[in-house]
Amino acid sequence: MSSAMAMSAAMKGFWSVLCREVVERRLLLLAAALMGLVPLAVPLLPGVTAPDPGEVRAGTALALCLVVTTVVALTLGSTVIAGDLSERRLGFYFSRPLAGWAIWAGKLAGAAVLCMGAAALVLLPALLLDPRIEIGTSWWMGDAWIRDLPTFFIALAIGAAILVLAAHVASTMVRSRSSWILLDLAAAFTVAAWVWSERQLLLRQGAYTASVRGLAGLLLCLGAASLAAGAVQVTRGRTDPRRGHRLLSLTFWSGMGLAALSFAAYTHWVIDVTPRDLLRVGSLLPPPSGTWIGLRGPTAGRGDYAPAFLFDTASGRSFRIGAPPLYWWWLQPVFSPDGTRAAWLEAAGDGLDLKILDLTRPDARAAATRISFDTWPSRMALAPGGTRLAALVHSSLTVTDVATGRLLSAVPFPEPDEDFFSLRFTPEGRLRIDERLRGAGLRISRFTAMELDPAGPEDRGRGRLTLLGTIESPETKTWIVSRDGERVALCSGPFFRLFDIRTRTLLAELRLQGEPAEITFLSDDRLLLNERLPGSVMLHLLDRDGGELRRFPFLQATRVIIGGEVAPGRLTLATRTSGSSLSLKGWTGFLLDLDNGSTTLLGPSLAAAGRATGPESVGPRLFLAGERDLMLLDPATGRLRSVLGLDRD
Amino acid sequence: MSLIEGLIEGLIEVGGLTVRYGGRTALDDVSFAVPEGAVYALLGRNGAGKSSLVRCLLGAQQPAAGTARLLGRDSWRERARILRDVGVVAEEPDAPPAMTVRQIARFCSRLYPRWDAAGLEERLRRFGVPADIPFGRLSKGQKGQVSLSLALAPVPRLVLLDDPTLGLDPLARRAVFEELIVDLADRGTTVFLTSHDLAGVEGIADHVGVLREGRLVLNEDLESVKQRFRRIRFAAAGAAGDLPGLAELAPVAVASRGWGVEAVVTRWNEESLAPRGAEVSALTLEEIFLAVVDPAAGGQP
Repeated sequence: MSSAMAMSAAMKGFWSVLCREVVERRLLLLAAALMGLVPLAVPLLPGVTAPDPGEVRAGTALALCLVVTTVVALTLGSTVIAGDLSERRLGFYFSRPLAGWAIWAGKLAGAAVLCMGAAALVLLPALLLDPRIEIGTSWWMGDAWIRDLPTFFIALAIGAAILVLAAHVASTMVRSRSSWILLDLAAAFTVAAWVWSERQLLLRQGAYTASVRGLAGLLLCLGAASLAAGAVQVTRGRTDPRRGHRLLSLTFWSGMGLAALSFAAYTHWVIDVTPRDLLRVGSLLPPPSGTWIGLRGPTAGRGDYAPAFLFDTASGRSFRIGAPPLYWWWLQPVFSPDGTRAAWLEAAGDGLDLKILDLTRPDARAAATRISFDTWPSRMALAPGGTRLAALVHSSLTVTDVATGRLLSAVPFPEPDEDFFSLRFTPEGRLRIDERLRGAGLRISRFTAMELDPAGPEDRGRGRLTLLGTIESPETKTWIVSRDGERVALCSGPFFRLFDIRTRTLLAELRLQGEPAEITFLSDDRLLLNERLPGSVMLHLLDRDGGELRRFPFLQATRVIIGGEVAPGRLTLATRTSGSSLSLKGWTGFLLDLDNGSTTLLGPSLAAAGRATGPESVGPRLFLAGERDLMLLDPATGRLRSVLGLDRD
Repeated sequence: MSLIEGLIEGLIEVGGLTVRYGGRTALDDVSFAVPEGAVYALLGRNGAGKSSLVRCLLGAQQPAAGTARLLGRDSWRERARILRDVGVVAEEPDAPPAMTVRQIARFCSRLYPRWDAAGLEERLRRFGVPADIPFGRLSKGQKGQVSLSLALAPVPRLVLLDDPTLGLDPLARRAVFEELIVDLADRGTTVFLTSHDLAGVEGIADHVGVLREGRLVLNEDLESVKQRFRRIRFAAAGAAGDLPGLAELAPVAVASRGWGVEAVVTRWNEESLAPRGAEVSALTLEEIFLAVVDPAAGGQP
C-alpha cells in the first residue's frame, strides 16, 4: 500500500472517530441549545431591571457560554481517552485498522467540536436577537482585551483546548491507579513552586506585562505538553493504562520542565538588564553631588518593565535597583546631600528592603540594611554620609538610623497631595520639609517650611516638628527654595517675588511681561529667571536680593530649559524654536557664560538633563540626545561623549 | 496478496516473545507459527499469559523481547495496516455501550477495505440479535455474537478470538463455534483462538498450543497430540517406576490409586506395546490439557 493510500486510510479513520465522538455525545449539543434560551428569559425575570435588556441578554449569554464551555471541556477531557482506557473500552479502537494518532486526534477533535459547538449554540439565540454583542463594554468584562466576538471565540477555543488536554492528563494520572501518581504530584509541586518563585521575581520588579506573557506562554506550553503526552500515551501505551500513564507522565513532565526552564530563562532575560539595554532614557535623577545618577527607561520586548539603575557616568558601573511604580519614578534612588551614598528599596517577600551603596568606593557593593517597609513611601531622603533615612509612609514622617535600623523619630504627617513637597536633610542633620498646600479653587497657595530634629534623646521615637515659616501667595505656579533653605522664590501671576522664609519678608518683586517658566538658584545664591515671551525667551540674572543684573534674550526660541552650572557662572541650557516642550526632540544645547554673556553651541538634538543642579553634580553636564542616548559634556573642551552607548538608530 | 505475503511460512509467526510486568514474566521466550488455513487453539490456565500473547499479536502491547508477526508484518509497528485483514473478538465485549449494533457496524465498515454488510445482517439474523438496540443493553451472549459477526464482516484472512465463549451459556457457546465452522468451511479463514471451552475447541481446532506459566509447553497439530497421549492403568502394586516399559512412553502424570497405578504417557504410537495387564485409553483434549498443565492431577478433570 502506498504512503498516499495509507494516509487516506488514516484520515478516514480520524474522521470516523471524530464523527463517532460527536454522535455519541450529541445530547450535549442539545443541552447547550436549550441553555441558549436562558439568556432570552433573563431580562423578563422579576427583579431584573436594566436600561438595555440586550446588554443583559448578551452578558448572560457570554457568561453561560464560558461556564458551559468550561464544564464540557473538563468533562470531555477527563473521559474521551482516560475513561475508555480505565473502563477497558479503548481496545475496541485498537482492534480495528485505526492508527494510534487517528484515535487520539479524532477523539480530541471530537471534543473540540463539541466544546465549540456547545459554546456557539449557547450564544446563538442572543446573537440572532442582537448580532452586535459588545464584549468590551459588557458590564461583566470591563476593560478586557477581548473586545469582539471573533477574538472571544479564538480565546475560548484556545482555552477550551488547553482545558480538554489538561483534564485528559490529570484524569489519566488519577485513573491509572499507579504509584506514578506520587511522582506526578512531586513534579507538579516542583514545577509550580519554580514558576511561582520566578513569577515573583517579575512582579517584584514591576514587570507585570512580562509576567502575564510568561504565564500565557506557560499555558500554551501546558497545552502543547499535554497534547504531546496524550499522543505518546495513545500511540505507544495503547491499551495498557499503566504503561500509558508512565509514558504520558514522562512526556508531560519533560515538556513542563522545559516550559518552566524557559519561563525562568525568560524571567532572567527580562530582569537581568543593564543600562545598555534601555531603548531610551525615560527618566533621569541627577545627584546633588558626584557622578552617579539614577536612570530608568523601557527596554525592548519586555512590556511595561522599566528597569531602574544607579549609574556612574564616570566609570560606567551600574547597579540595577528596585523599580517603584511608574508614577513614582522619581522616588529612588535617593542620594545623600554630600553625594557619598545612595539608597533604594528592593521588593523582598511581602515588603520592601532598603539597600545602600557607598558611592565613594570603586569596589563597593550594595549593602542590605535593617530598614524595610510594607509599602512604597511617598517620599524619602538620605542624610549626609547615609547615616539616616527619612520616609513619609502611612501618614507618618519617620527618621531611622541606617546602621542599626532603629527608629529615631515618628511624627504624624498627612500624605501630600501636591507635586511640591520635598524632604531633605540639612548639613546639621535636621530634616527639612518644604510643602505647598493648595487652597480652594486654586486661588490661594500656601508655602510651609518645617524642620524635624530627631537628635534629642528626650524625643527618641517621637521627634519634634518645628514650623519655620509660611508664605501665602495666590495663584502661584512656580516655587523654589534657595540652597540654604532661607529664601523662597515664586512666580504669582505676572510677578516674580523673593521672600525670606523665617521673617516672611518680601525681598524683591519683579513684574514680568511674559509667562514665568522656571527659577534657578545658582551656586553663588544668584538667581536665574526664565521668562517666556511671544516668539522668544528671556533669561533674567538676578543678584541674591532679587535685583536684576543682566538679561539674556533667546530670540525665536519658544522654550529654554536650564541644565545647571558646570562651573560657577557657566551654565548649560537647551532651547527649542517649535514643537511641544514635552518632546525630547528638537532641542539645541548651549553653554552660556553668565559673566560675559557668550554662548557656545554644543549641538543639535541635545536636551539638558541636569535639572538645574550645581557644579558639584554631574547633572548639568548631561544631555539627552534625541530621546535615545545620554551624552556627557567635557566643559573644558566642549565635547560630548555617549555614556550609555545607545547611539543606535 | 503481495508476493512476499504469499511466501510467508505462517500467517502468524511468533519468535522469542517475552513480556514482563515489572519483575513478573508473563511470557517467556515463546515461539510458534500458525500456517494459513489452520485453526490454532491456545490453551492455558488463568494467568498463563494467553491475553498478553493476544495483545502482542494485536499490536496493543510492546513485548520486552522477541517479535510477533501477522501476515508477514510486525504487529507492533504495522498494527493498523495488519488489522485491515484481521477480524478480532476481544475477551470482553468492548464496543461503546451507547451505540446500536447498526451504528457500530456503520462505524467499522468505513475502516476496512472490504465489508460484507449482507453477511453481517444474515449472521445477526441467525443469532437473533436486534440491530437497533444499544450494545450495552444486549445480553452477554448477544454481545459475543455481535463481536463475532463484526469480526467476520470484513472478510478477514485471519480471525483472532480471545476466549470468545467466556461466560456464555452452552447454547451461545455452540452458536459461536458453529458460526466459526461455517465461516471456515466457506472461506478457509485462518483462526487463532484462546479458550477455556476445551470441548468446543476440540471440535474445530487442528493445531493446539498450551501455555504454562508463560512458557509454551505444547505446540502441535491436534491429531498427533491425541495420537501420542494415552492413559494407562495397571492393576499391579508397587512403584510406578518399577513397571517395565513405562519409562519409554514418557509418562507425564503418574499417580497411585487404591486399585493400582494410573499414568498419562506422551509417546504412545500404534507400535507401542502396552505393559502386561494394563488398560490403555485415549484422552480428550481436556484430559491432555490437564495432564500437561497440572501433572499432579494425573490428567483427571
